[in-house]
Amino acid sequence: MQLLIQCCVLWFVSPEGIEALCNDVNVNHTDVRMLIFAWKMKAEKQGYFSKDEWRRGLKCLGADTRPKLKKAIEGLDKELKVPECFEDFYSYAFQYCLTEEKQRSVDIETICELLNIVLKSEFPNQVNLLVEYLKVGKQLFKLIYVQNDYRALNMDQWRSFYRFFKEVDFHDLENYDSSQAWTVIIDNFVEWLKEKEKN
Amino acid sequence: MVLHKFGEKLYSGLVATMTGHLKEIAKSVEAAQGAEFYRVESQKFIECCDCGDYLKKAERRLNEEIDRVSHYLDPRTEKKITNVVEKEMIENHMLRLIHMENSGLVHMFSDDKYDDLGRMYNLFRRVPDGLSKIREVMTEHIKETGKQLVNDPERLKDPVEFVQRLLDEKDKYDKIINFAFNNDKSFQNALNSSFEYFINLNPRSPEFISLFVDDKLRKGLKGVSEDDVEVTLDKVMMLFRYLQEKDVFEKYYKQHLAKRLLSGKTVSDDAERSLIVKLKTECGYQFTSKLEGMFTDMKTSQDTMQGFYASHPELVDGPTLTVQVLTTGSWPTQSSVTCNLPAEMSALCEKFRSYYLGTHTGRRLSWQTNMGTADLKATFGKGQKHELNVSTYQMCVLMLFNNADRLSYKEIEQATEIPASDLKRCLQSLALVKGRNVLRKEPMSKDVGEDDAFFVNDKFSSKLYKVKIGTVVAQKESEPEKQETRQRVEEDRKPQIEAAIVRIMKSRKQLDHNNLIAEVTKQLQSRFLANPTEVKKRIESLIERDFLERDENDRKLYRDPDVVSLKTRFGSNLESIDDGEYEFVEFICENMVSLGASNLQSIVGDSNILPFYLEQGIANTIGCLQREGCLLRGEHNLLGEAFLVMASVAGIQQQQEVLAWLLEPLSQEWTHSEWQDKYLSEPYGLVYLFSEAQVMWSSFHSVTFFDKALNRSGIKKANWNPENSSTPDSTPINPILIKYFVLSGSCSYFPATSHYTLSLVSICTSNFTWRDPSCNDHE
Repeated sequence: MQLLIQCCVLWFVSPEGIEALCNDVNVNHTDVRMLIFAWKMKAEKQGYFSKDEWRRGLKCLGADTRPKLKKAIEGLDKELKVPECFEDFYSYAFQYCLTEEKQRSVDIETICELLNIVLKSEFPNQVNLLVEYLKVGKQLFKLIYVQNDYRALNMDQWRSFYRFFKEVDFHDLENYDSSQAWTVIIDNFVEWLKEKEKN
Repeated sequence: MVLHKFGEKLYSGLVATMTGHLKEIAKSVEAAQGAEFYRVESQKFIECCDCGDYLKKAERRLNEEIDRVSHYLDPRTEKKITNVVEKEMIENHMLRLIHMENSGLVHMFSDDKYDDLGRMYNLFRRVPDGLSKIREVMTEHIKETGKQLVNDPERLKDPVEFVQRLLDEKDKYDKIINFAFNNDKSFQNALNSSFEYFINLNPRSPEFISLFVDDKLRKGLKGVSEDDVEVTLDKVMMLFRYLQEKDVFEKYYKQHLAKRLLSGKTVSDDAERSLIVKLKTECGYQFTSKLEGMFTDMKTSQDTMQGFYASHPELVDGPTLTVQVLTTGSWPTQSSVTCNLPAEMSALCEKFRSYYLGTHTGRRLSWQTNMGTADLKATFGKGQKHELNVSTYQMCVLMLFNNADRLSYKEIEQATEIPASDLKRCLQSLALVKGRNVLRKEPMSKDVGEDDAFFVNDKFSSKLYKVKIGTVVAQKESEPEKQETRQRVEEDRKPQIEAAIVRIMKSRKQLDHNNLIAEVTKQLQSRFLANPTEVKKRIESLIERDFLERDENDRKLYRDPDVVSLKTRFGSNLESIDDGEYEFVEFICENMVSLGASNLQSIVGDSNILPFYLEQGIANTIGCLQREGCLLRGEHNLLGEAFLVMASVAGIQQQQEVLAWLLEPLSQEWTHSEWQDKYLSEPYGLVYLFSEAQVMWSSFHSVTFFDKALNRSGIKKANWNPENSSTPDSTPINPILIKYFVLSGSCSYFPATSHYTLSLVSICTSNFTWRDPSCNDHE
């Protein structure tokens, strides 16, 4: 993941150290566990890890030696088994992508990447479909003016994805009620799914 | 002997019993016979009679029975017997009668058969469900015919005809309900809901109704008595009430009204105003405030023109200029594209511009050359003299021919700089319309091409001296225009929906999704039918901007956010304000700034919300922060500006309130005796005043905003009397106090404060009339 490379560069530890870190713990920098690590650290800004954050992360993992760190990072994905924790992490993941000060939304490309990293293990099929939908929308927008032009999404919409995957069965879309409090993008996604199924 | 003595008693008792028995027997026999009798008879009749005749017969039979009972039988039997007739003759054949071919209910409606309908009503009301059956069929029929009417392309070609047809249809059924159905309320309601149903099937109904009104107010009501005018307007209002998209009507009405006012083509000012009053009663003040603004502008412009010519007597002999100065925001939005006016006119226009700006500083004028008209005196080749009434564009084109005999399209385009599509239309109307072809075109083709050449038509003739060529009549919109208007309407709806959501959430604090949608729809239904998907989108937008938040646990629940972290939004600007104030400033600033001025217009146009903001929002905030001594100048300016925007788009009453409010701190201070003693009892007292930055700043700001507010409101400064303000508690500011400030030219002793002084002086002198500063009396 690009953002991790950036933050490695800006880390107080030398870049070589970070690479070594990733090698040592045998975790790819695009792995979700690095993002979980950032979450544990409560890292505020993408690409910047402060000394305090680093310390906090290590303390959370209970790791003060390299082998301990490696073991801890390897096992990080288990941290998310508890639903409340996962929700918190899920929202954090979005927050982490906000780079500018008053930024409220994240571009579609990053959203798709993030979906893959964060939700794919639990909802592989759904994530594929959603990513396809988002990318299709973006392509169409380039060609013609599509009414539902989603070039960037906000936190509320991001949150609604997880809730949707959790609560709605993709095989039972007939019961989906668009007059409910689902976000409009989810309404449109469901319509698109229904159309897709017909063809 | 026993018989004689007691016989009577016994005997009369016996008689009574016997009579009673006999009556009972008679009743049942009658009933039994009756039922069978009527069953047979009704069958016979229904086979051979049409509906009307059958009903006559049924009625006759019924009346006969009632008659018979009253003559021969116990009145208590009437009900039993009539029940039989009703059941056999009416109830059993109801549907057959209603749907009878060629004579049933629908035919009675079509042919206005009041008698038959009345008879049916009276008979059917006697049986259960009888009236509801009639009502059902009536409703269906009206909906069907209405649907055909609004979808018929032939009818839609002429909007005025179309609306007239609607009115005729309503009249027809009103008469039927009146003459035949006894003014039955339930039928009236059925009629209304049917009309509401089919009128809204055609999205162009609002536009067409406005065009109908336009036609009436332009010429249709010419010479009509005042009472008849009222009748027509009331009928229009009745149709208006059926519309779901009243805001679309408003948009078109505004456009058409603008054209009527500007071309001076309205039949009666009173009629116009009467309709506005009716609309205001129906829809509230917000609906008509801008419309009234248009009338005000027309009147003000008249006064301005008088002033102009009074101050420029040398211009009386030249061409007469009439300028209408339109306040942006009250009139339909126009793109301001100007063209090159003929030299005589542009010089005159410049004179006007400098005159106007001389008396109204801080305003911007832009000429709307696509909306004007001109009267030209023309002499043609053979000596014919005519007066031509043309549009401004047409005038620009024609005046060119004073200096040239032949002009090509390109030359005209270059000289006038009129946009191409308008120019083509303009030349068409000057050269290609029979009876109005003051120009001649070569080649003589039907359309205007870029290679064409134009000449004055020396052979032009017309029976009339005054020839009208201008084209400013309101017409049915073309397809692209219609799309544009529809788009603008949709855009305008967005802030209205947002305002409704914010309003509701502020008062309910938390609400679930479905109820929120229902509430919003209800609040907006007097203007348009809110689309639930669009409302959802607005909710999401408001969530993104932190006006609303979703409950953490229940995603179906929305909350009005209590305190939002200001620091993350404004950074370090507001460090000096303590946490308690954050909420206010936050809310106000966000509201004013991020909703934007145009959004503001729709919020503050509603007279319900302005007091809310006034009371709970800005006034508190500013007051609160001032008292704490920590109102940053930036915020004060921001809030004040926002306030002014609100005031300028609200109506006169609101503006008065705002002005009074703005002066409130001044009036409180300046009339306070302690304050007067301290600062105004002697010239040096002002020194103290000016050296207290806090006091000085707040006074300065107040007076500045007051001045700006007056400017925006267009109220003539010399005429503004604070005593006319509608707020009951506002103390009128004492102009004499201001005089003291002016007299404080002596404050030039104090260079540090002279800057303030000069500003105050200039503001005060322009705002108030006051006596000669050189006279030294104290009051």
